[in-house]
This record gives sequence, structure tokens and C-alpha cells, in this order.
Amino acid sequence: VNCQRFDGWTALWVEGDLDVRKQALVEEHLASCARCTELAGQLRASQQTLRALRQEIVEPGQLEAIRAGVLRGLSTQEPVRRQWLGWVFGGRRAWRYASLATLFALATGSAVWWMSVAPSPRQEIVRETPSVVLPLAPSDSVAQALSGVEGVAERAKDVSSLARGAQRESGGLPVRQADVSDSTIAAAADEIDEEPDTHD
Amino acid sequence: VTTETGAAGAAELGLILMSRAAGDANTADADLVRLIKLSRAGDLTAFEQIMRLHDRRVFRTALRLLRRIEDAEDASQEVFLRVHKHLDRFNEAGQFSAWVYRITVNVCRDINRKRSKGLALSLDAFFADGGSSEPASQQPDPLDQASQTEDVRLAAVALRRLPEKERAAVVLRDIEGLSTSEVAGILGSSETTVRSQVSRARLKLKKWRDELNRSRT
Repeated sequence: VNCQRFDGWTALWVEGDLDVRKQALVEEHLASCARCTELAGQLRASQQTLRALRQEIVEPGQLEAIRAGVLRGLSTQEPVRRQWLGWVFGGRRAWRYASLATLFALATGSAVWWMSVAPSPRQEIVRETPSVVLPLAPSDSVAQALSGVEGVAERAKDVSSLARGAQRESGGLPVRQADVSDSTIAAAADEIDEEPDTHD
Repeated sequence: VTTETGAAGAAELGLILMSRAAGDANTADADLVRLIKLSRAGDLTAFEQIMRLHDRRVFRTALRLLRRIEDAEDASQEVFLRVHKHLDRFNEAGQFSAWVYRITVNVCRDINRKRSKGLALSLDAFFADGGSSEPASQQPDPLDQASQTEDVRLAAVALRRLPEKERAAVVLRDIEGLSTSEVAGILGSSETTVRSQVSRARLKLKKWRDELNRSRT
């Protein structure tokens, strides 16, 4: 058996730091090895001396000086900042930079959002511009334009009535604009064109 | 020292001190929790009481980890200042002394890091000076000189030669008498790692102690 393999375990065994299985192995080995038994005895003596360091006398004056220094430090400390202010201004350097960067990002984001949502000055001007006032007595060109507009309105009205008729034929189902084919619209337009002009 | 203790707080503190004086071990933890609450409320007398309960352990650990008495004093003060600052974070259900040990180890680690930079500078100065001055870390520890027996002094000298992690493990396990799991929790490592560090450290200490004994004779 290689004794040096047991040195580390023996160093733990002297203070009862081994689990049951390893403890049994070490004890079995120690029972038959004078070298390791001697090592265990020396380790025990070494450990006893080390433990004696715990009993070292510490001067009471030293401890009093330490306590007084701490209390002096605490009594002269600045009042504790509020938590969030402490994070921003009084924390570790990394936290401080992170907090400032976050604040900057929030401020920039808010500004960009506000600019995209709020109306631009141009829109404001357009909104405030008064609507065009038509003359009470329209000139010939204006009257001609208005009659054209009326013609378009009439055609739209006819297409709409055609769609309603189709809806009736389909048993009340709604007819979407896409359901009215181009040819139907063209036929309707032709019918309208053929009708005598009743407006005049 | 000014305190913000109110009359109720002072009365409560008086009861705590009386129960401690009576040696009632069962109420010790509850007393500590009350002292912590009072300290959180700004009661410096209560905090002084907490320091009295832990200062010897903190100073002893710092001295063994830092090797110089002035550093150990500075470290102890820093430890208690940090304890006071972070009292709000402390989980009352946990072990307060383990938490204090953890802060102590961290503070000593910080000081050792700063000192290793300083030591590099002082070594430069040492060689520039023609080797006439002794580096600060090599000066004898006054506490070692005042140790009760020569054996204890030799153990303290041998302890200084250990690497930082092994020294921390053996100081907490063998000198402070904490369990392996507590040491692992304080050092932030596994129990297996702590056992390995402690085992190596014990063998080294035994070897160095033998060498020192031989050179003495």
C-alpha cells in the first residue's frame, strides 16, 4: 500500500473530517502501518498547537479602540440617502453609470415618442386654416363644375340601388362591392347613359 | 457617542443585557435579532453590543489572515462599518456570525490585494535602496511575540507561510472551530474544496513546524 496516498486522508481523519467509509479505510491502514501512525500523532500535536491560537490573549484596549473607531465613523456619517438616489448617486461606480445610462435612454426614448405622436407645427397650421368660402352667386365655370359633380353623385346613387336590388335577389345576403362584377357595373352605366337626362 | 435610542429602546436593551448576564443561552438568538432591529433603527448602543459579541472573533480572524496587527485593526473597523451599512440585507433566519465571518474574509481579501500592490512597490524601493530596509510584511507580529508558548508562536509563524485560500480555510476550520459546511458557505466554495485545502494546509503546517523545531534545537 502506498502510504502517501493516505497522508491527505490522515490529515482529515485526525479532526474527524472524513466520511464513514474513508474513516474505516484509514483506521484499517493505521492499524498496520507504523509510519502513518506516527504521522497521525504528529498531526494531532500540530493541530493542538494550532487550536491554542484561538486562546491567544487579545488586549481589551485593542478591541475598545476598534469599537470606538467604528462608532466615531458611524456618528459622523452622512445621513443615509433615499434608496433610489443612493443607487444613482451614491452606489458603486458601475451601478452609477448603469443608472445614468438608463435615465438617459428613458429620456431619449420619451422625447422620440413625443415627437412622433404630437402634431407637427405644419399640421397645426393646416388645421387652423379657415375653409374656402364659395361665392354666393357662382360663376359659369363653377356652375358647370358643380353640375359635373352632381352627375357623378347621381351615378353613384344608381350603382348603389343596383347593389341593393342584387342583395334582394340573393335572399337578403349582403352584397359586397367585390360581388358586383365589372360587367354589371358597365351594364348599369350603359343603362344610365341611355336614360333621358331629366336634370335639365 | 450620540445615540438615537428612545426610552422604549433603552428599556428593551436593558432587558437584553440582563438576559445575557443571566446566561440564558436559549434567548441568545432572539436577543441578537432584537439588537439587530434596534441597530437598524439607528441605535448605536445596540450596535456596540453587537460589536462586543463579535469583535474578538473578527479581530482574531483578521490577524491570522492579514498577519499584521495594524492591518487587523483596520480590517476589524471596516468589517463592522460594512456590517452596519448592510444590516438591512441580513436575513434574520440565517446565521449572523457566519455572515460576519464572510464579511471579515472579504475585507481581508481586499486588504491583501491592496497590500500585495503596496508590497511590490516596497520591494522596488527595497532593491533601489540597496536592500537596507525591511519590507513591511516581514516585520514580526507583536502578538506572536506575546504568545504564551514557543509552540504557539511557531504555529503562528508557520500559518503565515500558507497560501491565502488554504490559510483562510484552516483559520476558519481549525482555529475558529467552524464546521466544514460553514467554512464552505463563508468562502463560497464546495465542501470538497475546503477539505482538500484544509488537508494540504495541515500537512504543510506539520512539516514547517517540524522544520522550525529542528532549527530551534
